[in-house]
Amino acid sequence: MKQYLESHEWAEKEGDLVVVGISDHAQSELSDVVFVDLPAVGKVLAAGKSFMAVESVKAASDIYAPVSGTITAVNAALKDNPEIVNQSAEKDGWLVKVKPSDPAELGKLLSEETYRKSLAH
Amino acid sequence: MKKTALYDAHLAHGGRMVDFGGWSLPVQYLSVIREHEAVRGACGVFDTSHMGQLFVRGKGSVPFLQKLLSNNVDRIGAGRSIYSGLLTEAGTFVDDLIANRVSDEEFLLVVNASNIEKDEAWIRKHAAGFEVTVENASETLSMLAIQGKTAPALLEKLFPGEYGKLGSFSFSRAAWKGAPAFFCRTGYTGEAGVEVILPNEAAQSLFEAVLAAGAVPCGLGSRDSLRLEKGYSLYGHEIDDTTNALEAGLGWTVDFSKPDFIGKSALAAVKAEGPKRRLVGLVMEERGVPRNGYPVHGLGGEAIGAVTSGTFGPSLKENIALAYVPAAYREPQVKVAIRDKQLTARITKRDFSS
Repeated sequence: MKQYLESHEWAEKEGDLVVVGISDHAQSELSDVVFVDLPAVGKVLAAGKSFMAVESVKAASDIYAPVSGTITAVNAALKDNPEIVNQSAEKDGWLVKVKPSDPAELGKLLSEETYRKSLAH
Repeated sequence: MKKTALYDAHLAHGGRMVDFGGWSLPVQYLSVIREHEAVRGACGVFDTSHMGQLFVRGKGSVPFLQKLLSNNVDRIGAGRSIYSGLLTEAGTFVDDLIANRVSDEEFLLVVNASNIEKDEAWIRKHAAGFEVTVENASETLSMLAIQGKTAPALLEKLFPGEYGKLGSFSFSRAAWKGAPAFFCRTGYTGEAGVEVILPNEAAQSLFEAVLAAGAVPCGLGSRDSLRLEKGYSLYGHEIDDTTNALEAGLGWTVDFSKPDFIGKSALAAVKAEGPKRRLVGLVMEERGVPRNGYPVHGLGGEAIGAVTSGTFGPSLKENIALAYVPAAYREPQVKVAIRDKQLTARITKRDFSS
C-alpha cells in the first residue's frame, strides 16, 4: 500500500525496506524526464529533506525523503532510460530503496485517498 | 495575470499554462520534446503575443534610431529587418530587438515582453529633439511564430506566394482574412518559417488554420530548448543591463562606423582593452543538466563564472549550456557545479548545432 508526501513522492513497504518514487501526477507535471540524478547506495537520508533530483527538459526537481534511513539500492535502469519514470512512475520507475531508521515515520505520510483528494483542488 | 488573444485556444488544445513574467502562457501541450522535434522535423506554432511592438515614425526616424540602436538601420531598406541591441551608455542591454523597416520613415520595433514598459520609457526619453512619434501597439497586436522544416510548404497554403519571395530578415504586408499583417521571415528556432504580427481579433483564426494545416502547437519549453541549441541569447539570461554587447558575442550587431550611438564610447573602450569575459557554449561530458545560475569552475577548482541558460538538447541528445568565463581562460574544459558534484563540460561554440 503506497503512501504519499505533499511534495508528490510515494513510499511503500517492501519487507523491512521502503521503496521510494514520484507519483504519476508528479511525472505528468514534469513531463519528459531526461535525467535521474541517483544518489549513492549508503547515503543517509533525513525525512523531509531533499536527497536527489529528477531532471525534465525544463527544470531540476528536488526529491524529498519520505522517511529517514539509509539507501540500500537505486534503480539503475533509470541511468540509461530515465523515461521509465514517465512510463511507470509508481512501479518500474521507482527511484531508491531505503532501510528506515524510524519505521514509525511512515505513519506520518498521506494515505493514497488523502493524496488523491489533495490533487483535486 | 495577463492573457493573450489565444488564451482560450491554448486551454482548448490542452496547453499547460504557467506564469511567464506576468503572462499566462503554455509551457507545453503534450511534451516539450515532441514539440521541439516537431519544429526540427516538421512545423510548430508558438504564441509570442506577449512580445512588444513599438512603432517609430516621422522624418527623424533614421537619425533617431541610428542614435538609439547599436546596429545600423540605414543598411536596410523598406521591407527588411535587422537585429540590434538597445544599449545603455555603458554598452549593456536595455533590451535586444528586431527593427523592421516599414518605409523610409517608419519602423516597427519588436521587443521582449518583460521590457515593453522600460523600453517605451527609454525610447520616449531619448526621442526628445528628434522629429519622431512613438506608438506602443503591443496591446492591440498578436504574434504567432510558425517555424520548422516544413513551415514554407504549410505557409504556401495559407499565404500563397508570400514566403517564397522573402529572403531571411525581410517581411511583407500580407493580409490574413482581410486583417493587415506583418509577415516576417524571422524566428528564434534556427529553422525556416515566419513570425506573423496581426491584430488580436485575427489571431485565433490564424492559429486554428495553422494547426488545421498540420502544425503542432508549441509552448515556452520547446521555444527555450530550440533557441538554446542554436546558441541564441535570451534577455534576462545571457544579456541584461550588466552584460555588454561584446562579451555577449554580439559584436556583429554593433556598428562602430556610425558617428554615434548610445553606448558607443563605452564599447569602444571595451573593444580597445578586449572584453574581460566571454559567453561560451558548454557540452556536459559527465551526466548532469546545467541550469541558470549554476557556478562554473576552472579545472583547478577556482570559481570563474556561471551558467546563464542550460537544458537537455532534444535534437543534440546532449546536456548543453551557455556560460560566461574569463576571456583569458584557455583550458578546453570547465567544471559545472551541479548540486553536490563538480562535473566536467567542454567549451564549444555557442551554436551547438553547427
